[in-house]
Amino acid sequence: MTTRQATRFPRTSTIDAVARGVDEYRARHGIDVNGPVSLGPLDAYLLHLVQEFTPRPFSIIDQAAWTTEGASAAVSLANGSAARIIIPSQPTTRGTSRETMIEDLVTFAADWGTGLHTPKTRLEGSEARWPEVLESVPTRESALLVMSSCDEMDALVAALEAHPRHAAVVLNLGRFGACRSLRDLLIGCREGGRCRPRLFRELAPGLQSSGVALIAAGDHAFAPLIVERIGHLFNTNHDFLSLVRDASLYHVERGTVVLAHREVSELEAKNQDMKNWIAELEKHQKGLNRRIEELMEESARARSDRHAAEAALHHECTRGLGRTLVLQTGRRLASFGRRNRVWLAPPGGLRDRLAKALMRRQRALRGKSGPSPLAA
Amino acid sequence: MGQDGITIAIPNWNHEAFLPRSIQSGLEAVACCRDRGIEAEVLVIDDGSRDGSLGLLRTLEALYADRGLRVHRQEKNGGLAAARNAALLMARQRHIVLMDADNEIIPDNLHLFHQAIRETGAAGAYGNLLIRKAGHDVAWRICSNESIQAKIFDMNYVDAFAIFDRLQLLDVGGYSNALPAWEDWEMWLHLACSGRAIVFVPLAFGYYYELPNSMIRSHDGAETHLARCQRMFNQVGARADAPLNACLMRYFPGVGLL
Repeated sequence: MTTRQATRFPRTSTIDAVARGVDEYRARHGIDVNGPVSLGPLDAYLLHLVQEFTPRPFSIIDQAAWTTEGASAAVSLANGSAARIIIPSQPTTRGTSRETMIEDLVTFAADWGTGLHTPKTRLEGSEARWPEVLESVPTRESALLVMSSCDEMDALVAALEAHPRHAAVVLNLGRFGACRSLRDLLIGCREGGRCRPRLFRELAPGLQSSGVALIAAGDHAFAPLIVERIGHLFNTNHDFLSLVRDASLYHVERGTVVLAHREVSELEAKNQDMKNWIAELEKHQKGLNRRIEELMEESARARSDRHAAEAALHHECTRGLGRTLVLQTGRRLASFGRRNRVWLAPPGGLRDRLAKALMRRQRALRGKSGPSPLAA
Repeated sequence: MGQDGITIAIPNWNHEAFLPRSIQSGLEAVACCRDRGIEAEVLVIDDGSRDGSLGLLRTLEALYADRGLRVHRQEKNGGLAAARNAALLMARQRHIVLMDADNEIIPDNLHLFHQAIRETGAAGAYGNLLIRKAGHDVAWRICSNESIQAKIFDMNYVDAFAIFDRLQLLDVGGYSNALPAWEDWEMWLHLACSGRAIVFVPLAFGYYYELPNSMIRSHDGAETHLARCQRMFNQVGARADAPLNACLMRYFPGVGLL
C-alpha cells in the first residue's frame, strides 16, 4: 500500500467550509438544491476528504456532475487536488448542457477557488461516455470515478474489475433493503470478485447519515488507507454507547443523591424532634430537682426541730425534783400573770412599770445565759 | 510498492558530537529490520546547524546511502516542532521513529514495536527508555515505563522517543510550537484527546542520554508553559473521569493487550 500521498499536511478542513462552497455554487447559478441527487454537506465533505487523501497525480471522471447539477464537480474544483476533472457525456438529454455546466463551474472556480488555493485543476468535457474516458486515463495516473446511485452499478463494478488501479466514489446510496443501487452494487461485488464496497456510514456513528461509498479492488494501493484515515477522523474518545452509559449513570447518581438528601432531611427532622423532647425532659427534671431540694430542706428542718425537742425532753427528764417543782410553780404563776395582767398590773400603773423593768432585766440576762427557765 | 516500513528520523541542531552514535544505532536498527523483511531507512533532518553537523552529514550520507541513510537540510532553524514536521513530510515509510540526535535506539527491539503499532492501529507506540548520564554506559534509571493514564495531563512521563504512525500524526496537524520545550508532551495529549490509540510496549526502546544544559532544564518560563499546557488540555480537571481510548493500553506482540 502506498503512502505517497502523505507528502503534505492534509487539508481536513470542516464540513461547513466545504458545504459553503457548494452552496455558493448553487446560489450563483440558481441550481435547485433538491435535484435528482442532492449532495448534502456531509457527503460533500467526504468527497473532499477522499480526494485529499488520494495520491497525486490523479484524474476525476465526474459522471455524478449530471445528477448533482455540477455540485460534485464544484467540490472537486474547490479541493484542487486532481490534475483534471473530466465531465463525460450525459446519458440522456437533461436540462443543462455540458457546456453551460462547465462554463458555470469555471466561473465558480475563478471566483471561489482562488480564495482557498491556486487552482491547478483543468476542467474538461468529453463527448465519450465514462467507460471510454476511464480507459483513456494514462497508466501513470489513477482515476477517481464519481458516480451517483442513478448510474449503472453493474457497469461500474465491471469497469473497476477491468482497471483495478482506479477507484470510484458513489454518492446518494440509500439504506439496505430500500436502495436498488446498493443492492446491485453488493451483488456486483460478490464473493470471489476483486471489488470491495466500503460504506462510510459504517466507520463511525457520526457518519451514519452518509450515503457515500468507496468502491475499489480489495488490494487497491490506497483505497483501504483512505477509508482508514477518514475513520480515524470521525472516531473520538466518545462513542454513543459510552455517552448513553455516562448520561444514564449520571441520572442514577443524581437520583441517588436526591434520595439521600431526602433521607437526610427526614433524619434531621427526627433529630430535631428528639432534641425538643430532650429539652422538655431537662426542663421537667430541673423542676423535679428544685422540689427535691425543697423537700430535703424541710426534712433537714424537721430533723433539727426533732433534735431540739428531744434535747428539751431529755433536759426535762434529767432535771432534779426540787428544781422541777419550783420551775413548774413558777411557770404556772407566770402563765396566770400573763392571762390576768389587765387587773394585776394595769397599763401605765406602778405595778406595770415595775413588771416591765423586771422583764427587761430578765431579757438582758437571758441574752447571756440562754432561754428563760420559765418558758413553757 | 509497499511503504509499511519504518523511517528512523533524527532531527539535529548543533549535535555534531552525538550524530555518529545515533546514526550508527539507527543504521543497525535498519539492518535488523531488513533482515526481517521490514523496509527501513534513517532520515536526518538538519535544522540549520552551524556547528559542522552539515559537513559530517554530507560525508555520512555519501558513505551510507545504500544502507538507508538520507539527509534533509532545513535552510533556516525552525525549532524542534518544525524539524519533526519536516520529518513527517519527508519520510518514505508509514511508521516513523523520532529519535533525538543525542539518543540511541536498541536495534533488536524495533521490529517488535513496529509489529505492536501495526497490530493495534495505534497512533504511537513507546517503550522503556534507559537513562544514562553523558559519558556513562550504564543506565541509572528508567522512564516511559507506564501506560497512558489520566495523570499524563498533570505531568509528562512519556518521551517523544517512540514509533508513530506518521499518517495519523499528519492528520492531526503534526507537532505544534505553541509550547516550546514541551512539544512531545503536547503531542501525546493532543493524540489522546483526539481519540487516537497510544500503546505501551513493556520493552526497552532505546537509551536516553542526560546532557548538561538540556533544552527542558534550561528553558526560560518552563513553569509558565507547564501551566499553559495544563490549561489547554485539563483546565477544569475533568480528564480523570473522561473516557480516553489511549488509557491503560499495554501491548506485547504475539500476546496482545495486557
